[in-house]
Amino acid sequence: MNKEYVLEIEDLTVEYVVEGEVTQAVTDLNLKVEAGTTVGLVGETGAGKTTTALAALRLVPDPPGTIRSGRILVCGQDIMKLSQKQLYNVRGQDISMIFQDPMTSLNPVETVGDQITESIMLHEKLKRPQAWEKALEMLELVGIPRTRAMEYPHQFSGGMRQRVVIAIALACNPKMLIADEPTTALDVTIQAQVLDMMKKLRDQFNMGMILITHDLGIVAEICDEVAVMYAGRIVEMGTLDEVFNHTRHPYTEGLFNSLPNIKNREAKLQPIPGLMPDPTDLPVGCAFAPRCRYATEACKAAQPAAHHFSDTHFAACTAYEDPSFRIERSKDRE
Amino acid sequence: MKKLLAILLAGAMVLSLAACGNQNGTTGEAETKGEAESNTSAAEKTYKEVITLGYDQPATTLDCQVLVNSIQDTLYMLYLNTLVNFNFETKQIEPCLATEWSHNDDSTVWTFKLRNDVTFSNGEPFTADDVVFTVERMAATGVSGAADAKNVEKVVANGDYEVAITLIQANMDLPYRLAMPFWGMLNREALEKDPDNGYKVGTGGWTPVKFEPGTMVEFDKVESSWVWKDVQTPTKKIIEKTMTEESARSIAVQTDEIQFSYSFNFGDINIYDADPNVDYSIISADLIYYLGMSYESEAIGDDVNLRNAIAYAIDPTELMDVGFSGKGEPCKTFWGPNQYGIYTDYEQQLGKNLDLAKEYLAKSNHPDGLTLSLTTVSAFEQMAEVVQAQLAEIGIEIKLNITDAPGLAQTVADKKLDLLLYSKTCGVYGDQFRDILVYGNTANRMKYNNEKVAELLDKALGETDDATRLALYKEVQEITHEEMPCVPLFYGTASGLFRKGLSGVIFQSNTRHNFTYAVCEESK
Amino acid sequence: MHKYILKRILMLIPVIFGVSLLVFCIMNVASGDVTAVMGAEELDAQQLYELKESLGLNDPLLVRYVKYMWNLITKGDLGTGYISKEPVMSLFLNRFPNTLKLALGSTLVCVILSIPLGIYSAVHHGSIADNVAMVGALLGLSIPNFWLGLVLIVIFALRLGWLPSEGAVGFKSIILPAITIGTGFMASMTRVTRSSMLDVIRSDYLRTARAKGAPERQVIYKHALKNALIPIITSIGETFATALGGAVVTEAVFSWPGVGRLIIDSIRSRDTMVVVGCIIMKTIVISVILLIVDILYAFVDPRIKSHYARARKAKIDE
Repeated sequence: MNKEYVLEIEDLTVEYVVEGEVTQAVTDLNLKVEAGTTVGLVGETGAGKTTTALAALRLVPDPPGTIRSGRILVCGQDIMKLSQKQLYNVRGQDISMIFQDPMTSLNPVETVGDQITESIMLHEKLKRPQAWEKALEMLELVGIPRTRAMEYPHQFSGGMRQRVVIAIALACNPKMLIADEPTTALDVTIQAQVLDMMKKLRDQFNMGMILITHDLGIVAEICDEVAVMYAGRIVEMGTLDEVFNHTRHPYTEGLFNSLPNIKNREAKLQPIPGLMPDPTDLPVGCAFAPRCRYATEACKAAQPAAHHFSDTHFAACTAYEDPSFRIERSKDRE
Repeated sequence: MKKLLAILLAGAMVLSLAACGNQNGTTGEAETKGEAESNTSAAEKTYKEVITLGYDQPATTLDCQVLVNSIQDTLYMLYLNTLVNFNFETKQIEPCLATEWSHNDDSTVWTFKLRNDVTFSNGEPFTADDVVFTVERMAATGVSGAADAKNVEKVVANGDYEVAITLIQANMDLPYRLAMPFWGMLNREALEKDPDNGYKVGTGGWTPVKFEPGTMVEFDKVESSWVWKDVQTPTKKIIEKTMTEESARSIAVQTDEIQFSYSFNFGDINIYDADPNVDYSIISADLIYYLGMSYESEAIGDDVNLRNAIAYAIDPTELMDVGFSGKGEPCKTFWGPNQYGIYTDYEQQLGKNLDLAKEYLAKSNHPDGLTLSLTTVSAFEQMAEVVQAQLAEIGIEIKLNITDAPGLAQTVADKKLDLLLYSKTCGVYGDQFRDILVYGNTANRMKYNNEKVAELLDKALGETDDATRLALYKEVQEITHEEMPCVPLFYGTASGLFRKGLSGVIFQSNTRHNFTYAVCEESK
Repeated sequence: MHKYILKRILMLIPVIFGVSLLVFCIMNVASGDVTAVMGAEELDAQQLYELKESLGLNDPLLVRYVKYMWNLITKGDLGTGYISKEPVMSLFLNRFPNTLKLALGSTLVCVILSIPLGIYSAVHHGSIADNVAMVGALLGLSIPNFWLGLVLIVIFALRLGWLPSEGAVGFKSIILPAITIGTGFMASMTRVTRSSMLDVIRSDYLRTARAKGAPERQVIYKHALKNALIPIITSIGETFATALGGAVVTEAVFSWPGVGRLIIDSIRSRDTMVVVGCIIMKTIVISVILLIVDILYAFVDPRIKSHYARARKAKIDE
């Protein structure tokens, strides 16, 4: 069966050039999203998750950012080769993105109804009254009474604003949705509601989705696949079960170890020592090596190759040159 | 990079400013001058129906009895007539609304016989009663001719066309005074019916139909006026506009937006020489520029030697060059240039004479020089600086005090006046310098108080014998030549820039030009 | 909302008192008085005194002020000019429409030039075009009005004959003076537009708009500009109010019969009645304009409008 990929990213490299200094934001990234699946993109701040997402819509601010190399296919179209007009058609219609902070993501001087309607009118040949009607339907779909369509963003709470943002993103039935930390700015209780709604809509529309987050709990809730990013590269990727229960990469292990253990309140927190490397000055070898307790000289010498553990699971770690190498976490589980 | 760009652009701007400073001549117009002239003589001439005049001072009222200055008088002359007129060419008093006049032996009672064919613009006939009304109104509320009106004991109408004016003090200059435009005759009926506008009704050839104080006045021709009995003109409307900016006003003549501009910058003469559509006229004016020395000044006081020292340190031609591009005429005496009784035959002529000046200074109370303040208005600031330099040559240090007309009045009132650089309109009648020579008058800012001079002026005022009168005025001038209340500097000019096709304008040295018969050809 | 407007209008009263007292005092401090320009050269001391008496100039300052304000409050009469003897109100109303026209024209010129330039600069922030635009705007401020006015007259009136050099009749006559004044205000408005747009251009909702697939033009003009409007509207209001204040130099160069020249001429001749009266009228007009600008905010920014609505609703609920 041919898998229908709604998003294919191949060998993506994105750089930012500010006053002569070059920041390697994303390097040699490969990612594929099937229709109907959700990929969790996990990593610390500065790992390059948002840049990857922006690149998928060609929204990387240029200057100072440039897509040095790579191919990005959205529903089979190479977006790097599209004209401006074609690009405008793709955005919002084939692929949509929602951003982190609902407080600032909405235009304060337009009604929420207008903002949804705008999206509809950009892509569908509807007259304004019909577009407005459709916008009202979208509002109800995300759980906001249609009577509130004439209100302005500042009249809504954070959670409701995020729903509006989702309504805007989904108004034209995109096949692919990128959600960049959609619940980070919300209260925990609201988080759950919004996530629920997103799951429902994803299933309803059979959308492919990338969910960017640094919260592993959310990943567990909603994602089918997980990709772990560090310093601009994917260091481990696999199905939810594979990454969570059969963790391979030392960094991923570190992430799980950083979570406080609710069962063992006495246990000390285990943070990953050190900081992420300066993205303007990335080392030749593995970027995680300075902080990795399994690191060897070989790690620092060259970029680690991707070692596959199944069709869907790989980790980029030089230690796995030795097939018998296991990280601590694996030792417990296996 | 940003800075460099900013500097380059700023530099470009400075250069362009400098370049525009020397706008000399126009392109190609000099060559076509000859052709234009030959064309017009062959074609039919058409005349403008509307003539527009541009003046620098605003006209703020149409009530001739309220305000007097150059522009006001010029406008009064369009819609009002006086009893008599002064002809600046023949220097004679001529009949106007009055046909003949006479006075009694001691010139206190003046009798005027009036024309019987004159009507006002509202249709009312002009009669002796209107003369009575005009004089009484001036005495009651007038400002411009108040000095004259206060000297009137009574004015009586003998029938419709004869009026007798009885003066308190005899005055041989009465006809000259009554010839002044602000003595235009008003209509009793018009002012009794409409006290707020009735003063616009006159006997002249034009009548004001639109008035925006300070901006413009519009006159329509009064076809029924006696002025048009023997002369007709194709002009139907005259408009006067206030245009304070001289360059803009001169340009407006070049673009034919106005046909006459009062005064222009002599430094631009070559531009107007090169423009075939405009012409200009520069005539000597009844205007004297003087350096007054205050008697209330502690430093100067009545120190005659110091006064003379200052007088002979000044070179008026240098002032004329700086102030008026050399146009003007140095004074020989402290008297008006066209004034009755002018005497210039002094042994010691005025003019720069440094040795003489130093001699006088040595004899004064300040042989080693001193510091004085020189007060003037901003228009004369450059000339004041020249005076400053000239007086420095004999050791007098000058501090400049630049102010305006009201500020000057205040300086005088505060007794802070030392030297004053100013101008004064002169008249054509003998008594005209009374305002500056007699103590207590506003124009006498120097507070000159010489009883002999006042006595002489009074005597001359009523003196009927011509030779005696001249001798009296000669004595006055000899006294002022010796005592130097003021140093007479030079006589000014009146100038106008106008369209070549403009004619019929009577230019007068008192700067009040007569536009009643103005005609302007359309230019091609 | 209505209460707010009423409050603002009532605040005018102390402002008028303050302004008129201040102007009265300043005119008094300025040396000399109006009689110096009334051709009173030929009057003697007694006649001069009587003239001043008739104008009420011999009364002490406070007495004159009280008389003036009493007249104003009880009869709404701004007095009559000493020299022209016309009621100050009619002198003002005669000239005011001209000043209003010129102020509108200048503001329009400024807006047409500044806003696109400011937007372009913000969008191309840091580029050469941005720098040139800023220097250009600065040029507009630095070039003296009388120079620019005369140069425009020489080019367009004298050499080309396209436009009139003086007067206020017809649409053509407003073009040159409006350009002369408008370019002077460009520096400020362009900068305000640019910085306001720069603030907005980093906003997240622009990213949302682009993600929707909105063309860049729509992003800038519909989303960014609409949000950048508040400081720009303030700038337009200020420009208009300042232009109304009277561009004296330009009015002189173009012989534009506006209020600015009236006030300057009256100051020169110490005609206190006209000066105070005109300044009071201008204070009222400018205050009303600023009030209108404030009210406009509510229509441009719904956050402000609902602030009023909420306040009103709270009142109703009480």
